[in-house]
Amino acid sequence: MKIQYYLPIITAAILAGTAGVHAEDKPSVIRVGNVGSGYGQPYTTGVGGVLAAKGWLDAEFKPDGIKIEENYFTLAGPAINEALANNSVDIAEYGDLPAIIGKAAGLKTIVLAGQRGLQTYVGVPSKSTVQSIEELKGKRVGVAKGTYMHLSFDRKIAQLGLTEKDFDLVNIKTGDGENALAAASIDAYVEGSGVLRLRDLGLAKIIYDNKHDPEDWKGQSVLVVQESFYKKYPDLTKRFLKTWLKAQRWECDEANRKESLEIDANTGTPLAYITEDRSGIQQIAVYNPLLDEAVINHFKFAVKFSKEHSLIKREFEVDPWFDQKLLAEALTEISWQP
Amino acid sequence: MEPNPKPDPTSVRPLLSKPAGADEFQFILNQAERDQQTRSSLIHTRVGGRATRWNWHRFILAGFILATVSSASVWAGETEDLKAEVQRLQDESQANKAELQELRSQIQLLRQLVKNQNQTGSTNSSTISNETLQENLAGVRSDVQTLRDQLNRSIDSTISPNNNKIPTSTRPVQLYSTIQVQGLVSDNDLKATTANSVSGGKVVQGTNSTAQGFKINNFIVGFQGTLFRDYADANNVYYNLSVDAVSPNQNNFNIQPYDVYLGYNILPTINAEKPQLNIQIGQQIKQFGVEAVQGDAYVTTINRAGFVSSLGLLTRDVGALVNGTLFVHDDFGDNYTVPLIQYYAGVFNGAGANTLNYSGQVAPNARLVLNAPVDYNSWWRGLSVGGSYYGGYVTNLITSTKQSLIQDASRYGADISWIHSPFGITAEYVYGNDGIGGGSTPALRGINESGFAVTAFYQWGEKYEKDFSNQDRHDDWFPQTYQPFVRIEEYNDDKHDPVTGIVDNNVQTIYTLGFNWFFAATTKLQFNYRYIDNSRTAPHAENQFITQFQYGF
Repeated sequence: MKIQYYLPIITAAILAGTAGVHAEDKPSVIRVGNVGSGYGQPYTTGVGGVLAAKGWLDAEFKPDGIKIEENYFTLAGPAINEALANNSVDIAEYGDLPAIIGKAAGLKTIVLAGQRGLQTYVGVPSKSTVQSIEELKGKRVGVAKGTYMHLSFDRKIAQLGLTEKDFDLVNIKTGDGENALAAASIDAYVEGSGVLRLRDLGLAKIIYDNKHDPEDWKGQSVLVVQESFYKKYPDLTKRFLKTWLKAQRWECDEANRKESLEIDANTGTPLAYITEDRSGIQQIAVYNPLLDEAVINHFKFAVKFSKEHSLIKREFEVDPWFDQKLLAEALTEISWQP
Repeated sequence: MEPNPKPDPTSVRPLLSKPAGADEFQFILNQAERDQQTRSSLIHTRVGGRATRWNWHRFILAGFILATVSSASVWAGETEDLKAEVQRLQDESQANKAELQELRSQIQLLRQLVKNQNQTGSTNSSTISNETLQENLAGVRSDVQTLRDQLNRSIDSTISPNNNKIPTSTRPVQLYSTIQVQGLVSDNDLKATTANSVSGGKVVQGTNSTAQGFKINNFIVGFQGTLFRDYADANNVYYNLSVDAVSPNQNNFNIQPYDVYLGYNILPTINAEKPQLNIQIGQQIKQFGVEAVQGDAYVTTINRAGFVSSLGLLTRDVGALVNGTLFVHDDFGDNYTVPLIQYYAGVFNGAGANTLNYSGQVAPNARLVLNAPVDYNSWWRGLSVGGSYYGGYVTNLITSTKQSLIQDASRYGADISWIHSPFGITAEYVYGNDGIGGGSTPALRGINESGFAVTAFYQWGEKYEKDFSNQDRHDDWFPQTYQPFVRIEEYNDDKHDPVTGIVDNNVQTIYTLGFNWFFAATTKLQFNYRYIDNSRTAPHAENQFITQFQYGF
């Protein structure tokens, strides 16, 4: 039997099977990208964590037969960029720097809402004599590159007149970084509140946190949607955003603060450290969804800063990236003016 | 089981004066209620200073006897004593009632305390929470240490010579495996020049017929890990030890060493953005091309290209190999790192797996790969061009005389690949040149051998997105992936008779159409249809359907 008889049949079968994938007018699933924890737990913090814990997204889309697929990326923002590039997620929430890097690299994303006030710490091994960031010059500093902590650290060292080249900056993800810090194989590690655990275990000392620095220095995160998904399903996108904002409104209510922190603790970070990290900070200061002037200025500065410090290769316009119209409509429809 | 444990009257009051949490008060409250129920079912009498229990049955029985005796006016002399006894019992009953009343009061008091405690707890939750958390933290640490000690003792006792149930190692070990179960159907039997026959109860394969049916195609089990872990710079010493069941087409398995080598990270590996340099010593695969060095988990087709085995590229060899990277491009925003240059250089015995070289000459191996140093979002991501060389001299051991026959057997390769999910394409060309005089029939040793393979695939699913699979999920989740592909390959084995000068140009061309289904993290199901055009043997064409189930751990 000749191959000519087989190839057309099998090729046609394969192509037919492939073509059937996108036949429906609504998606069978909405794929959500979340920043995973460093502790191997399938949870995330903030609004995404509340939505998953309460099941509000599932409840919103279940009547339409649309499943919500939550993805918790262990390698955080950079992994979400990869997933967006491969069209493996439709909507994602992640930090400012990875979102900027992704956009600068050509990802077709649209920002729907914001979140702010994410803090950064610098820990050193407990036996280290280093007491300030300046003293880390020439030393090995670990950071999960491409995360909001990376940007916050760069902004701080810029204020001190330093650049990344003044350090031996090592790219280490959260879990590995904490282990490296505990083993004193690096001289410092830049991360979120996870370093508080090492401090209480006597394995690290904290020499810097940006809790009292200007709000603009702190990390921000954004909810982004794939442009293709938005264009194809504008109504679903708005419904998703409204549900997201309802959770954000719930987060802003101080009466829910305790429960909010407890949900964050599902990620594996002990509640005591989350509580300490957020002590003295109003809920609205973190969960305000507005893409207001402060947020826009933060991102405009961050884009310029990232270009100047070679974190991105090209600048881009921030204003068209933010869909202020859809956010305003969604807020109006849920009767919330934060 | 302990029915109605004896209540301890002192168990309530001392705890009332001790600060306790709401749960503790609730426990005490429950305990007191149980005490009350217990006491209600008992009548306490004291005889000679000793407490004696009377139950209701005895009490009624005593009353019944007393009434009977009174009404009968028998033993009148004892009536007064009995009356006194009844009076005493009634007094005891009154005393018990008072005690029950006291218990009820205590319960009421406890309830009030619990209520007050809850109110206090809610108004000062943050203060109490922090203090309690600190206490709990200290307690948890203590518990963890205790559990760790218990575990160590348990392991110590388990691995004792008399009770050796848990395998242990002095160094970290990762166990891995690859198993392939294959089924093949071919139409070659119908065209074979000699059909299969039965002789002496055994099936004798006919000329040019293809063995069909199911078989275990591959069977590898191995261990790997570190012998020394450098926490500062990650200049680690690592090892790999695996065995392979070779000759799977035979009736028996021959378990032999497969990858057995020791490695050392000469340059620090803690920072992936920096150049790397490693050395591996032992039995390992030669670094040549794309097809031969791919792990079984990544090979698109069920069968590797024909030239891989014909030119001996897949054969393990013993030697030393250095490999490294230069000019590393780091796109940390997408967690993507790619070196511009990958290089490999080494020397091997050239005699095959675990075989000595008696000639004093070595077989060099070198490979250079240039990768597109671009960001993850670039269209050029995944583009690589490589060149390989292996050979010079290899030796074949003549078993009967224990002499080595030195042969010229050079291999040259060029390859290009563009793996850019969701699609990928690879193309590879290999040229081999063997010296005259080798093998059992020296006159028929080939001079020139060449082959190429071009493979293209498309996939949907996220298996090859390195970070997508690296997720935290509640279940044993893995992104299922579907991968259709096509391949064309050719192997040209020019037989040359140096005596007659006759050159026999033999060309085998294989077209493969296939589909891979990755349905679990380490498991895939493969379907291949192969059309084999073989100019050397008759018949010249063959159709094969092969299914393979590959899994590992």
